[in-house]
Amino acid sequence: MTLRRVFLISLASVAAVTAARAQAARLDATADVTVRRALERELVFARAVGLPEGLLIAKANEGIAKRATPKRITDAVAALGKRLQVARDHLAPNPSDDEIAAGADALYVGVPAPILKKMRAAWPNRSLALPLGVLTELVAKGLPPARAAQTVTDLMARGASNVQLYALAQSVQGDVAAGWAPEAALDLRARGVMSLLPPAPAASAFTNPRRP
Amino acid sequence: MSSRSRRAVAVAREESPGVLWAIQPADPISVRPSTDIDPDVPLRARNGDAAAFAEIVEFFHVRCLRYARYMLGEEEDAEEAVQDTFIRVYDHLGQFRPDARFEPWLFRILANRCRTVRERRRRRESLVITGELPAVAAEAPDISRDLLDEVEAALEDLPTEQREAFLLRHVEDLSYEDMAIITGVRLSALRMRVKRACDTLRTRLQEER
Amino acid sequence: MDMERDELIERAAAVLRRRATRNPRVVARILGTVEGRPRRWWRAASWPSAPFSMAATMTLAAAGLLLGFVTREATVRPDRGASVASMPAAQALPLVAVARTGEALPVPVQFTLRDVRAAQVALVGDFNGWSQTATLLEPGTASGTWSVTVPLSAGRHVYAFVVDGRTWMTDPRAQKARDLDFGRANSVLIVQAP
Repeated sequence: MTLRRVFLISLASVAAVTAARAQAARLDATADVTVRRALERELVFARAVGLPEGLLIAKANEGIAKRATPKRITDAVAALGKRLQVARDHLAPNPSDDEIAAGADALYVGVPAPILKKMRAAWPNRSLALPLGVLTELVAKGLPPARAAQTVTDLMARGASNVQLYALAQSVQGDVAAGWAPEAALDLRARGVMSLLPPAPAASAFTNPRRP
Repeated sequence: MSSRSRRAVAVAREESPGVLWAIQPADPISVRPSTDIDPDVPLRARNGDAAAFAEIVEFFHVRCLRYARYMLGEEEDAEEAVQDTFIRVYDHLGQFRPDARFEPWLFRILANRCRTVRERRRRRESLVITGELPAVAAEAPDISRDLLDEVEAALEDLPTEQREAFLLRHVEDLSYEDMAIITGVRLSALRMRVKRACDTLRTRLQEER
Repeated sequence: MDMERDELIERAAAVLRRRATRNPRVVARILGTVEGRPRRWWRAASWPSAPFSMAATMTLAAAGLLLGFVTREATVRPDRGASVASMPAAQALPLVAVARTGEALPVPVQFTLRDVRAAQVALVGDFNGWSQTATLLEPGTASGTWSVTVPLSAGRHVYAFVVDGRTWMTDPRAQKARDLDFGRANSVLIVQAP
């Protein structure tokens, strides 16, 4: 390796660290020094692999706002970093920052990563931020992730709109609050939305063929 | 003993806390400085003295919040349970007998409210959560946050009845006789619960060292 | 000898005991609730020492039950200090525009809270970096009402209110999201886009 190459790599590393420090300046001023250092390390990595750095800073600021211990904050930021990378990889190609954030939220509540890929396949050219948010809330309400994901992706493939997905989530939440079992509520409400949609396509890579 | 008789005994225990219903003799080590309020204050509150009731709230709310927080795990649930407790105390002061001790009577109401809140929490969708934020992440300079985290985590993993028994005995410093009044459980069962809780905590905390 | 008490248990108990701070807000709420609260009629009366007839006793009990229900209905509901908002707290206003790619432009969302005791209410959430100074609610014309409108992207958002710089409060009218990272729940809002 030539001296010039080494010099350029060093410069790049220094630049990355400098940029990370500049970003970390958006961190709450009351942040503990251990939090600040841990965040800078995460930001260097996030910048290197193209992850939205603002989300990591926001997570640290959330912890500070909640008066969490430095250890909890650094653990949370590190865990988020991993989730963001997985989300970004499974929502490829070129997911937006909102989609990556939504994907990370879905992973947080237990949605398996391959489901993100299936959702991308269902809506290759539309933002997945809202469907992922709906899925996250359904799982948070107690639905098994695979079941909830199957329902949401089926609806997406059948042409459900964001409004309809949103209405599904609201209805299921209301039913669960009224004492319904989550799966029963989802089944009922999904049928309702399905009845408004055009018939299923002849073949689908991700939906089960339904009997008439 | 029939259920009716058991109920009668439970009521009698509550009404006459001074009587030792247990077969085991009182543990001399358990005699400790009283944590109860001056007996005159609840009596004045019972007779309509608003300042006396305020004194009761001021005297007990810190311990009540602490107990509820450890039983319920969340600040907002704890505050709800404690508020409900004192409102019930206010509503039922007429039932408080002048010759009874106030502390176990109050904690009995609190323990029941905590059970109710815990059972109701699963079905609750929307909740006002209010929690005073600590001034800094580590409040007490001579307490390691790690130790507090460890102890709290270990406490949270205990079965509910063991956690309740441990808190009443070792954190609230109550006698087994008072605990029997509060929980309606026999002394021998309470001792067993406390022992098991201590054994579990001891093992857990030693493992994490 | 008390075999339960060894050094480790004592230390654990001491640590747990130290977590106890006075909470003036809770005290104020309790005392505010009971102020003027009607006391139940049977608390004022003392049971007669002379034996009553069964019919008289049952009549008395039935009257007590009826009066108890009436009294309960008339009782002022506990004021939790930060009262439940009288209107939906987070209301998404109609969508302004939709971009061609399907990614909607931000949707204006109004957040409201009713807290008669607050001097300052801040909105914190994933959309403003959880900053306690970036988005302050403004007082409304009705006493104790606060609101602010914020543009949010479509999708799921988590947020909370911080009252007077020290009280974390979720939205009384919104769904709640448990917080496994830091142990303080947030409120959840899904902003829809066509």
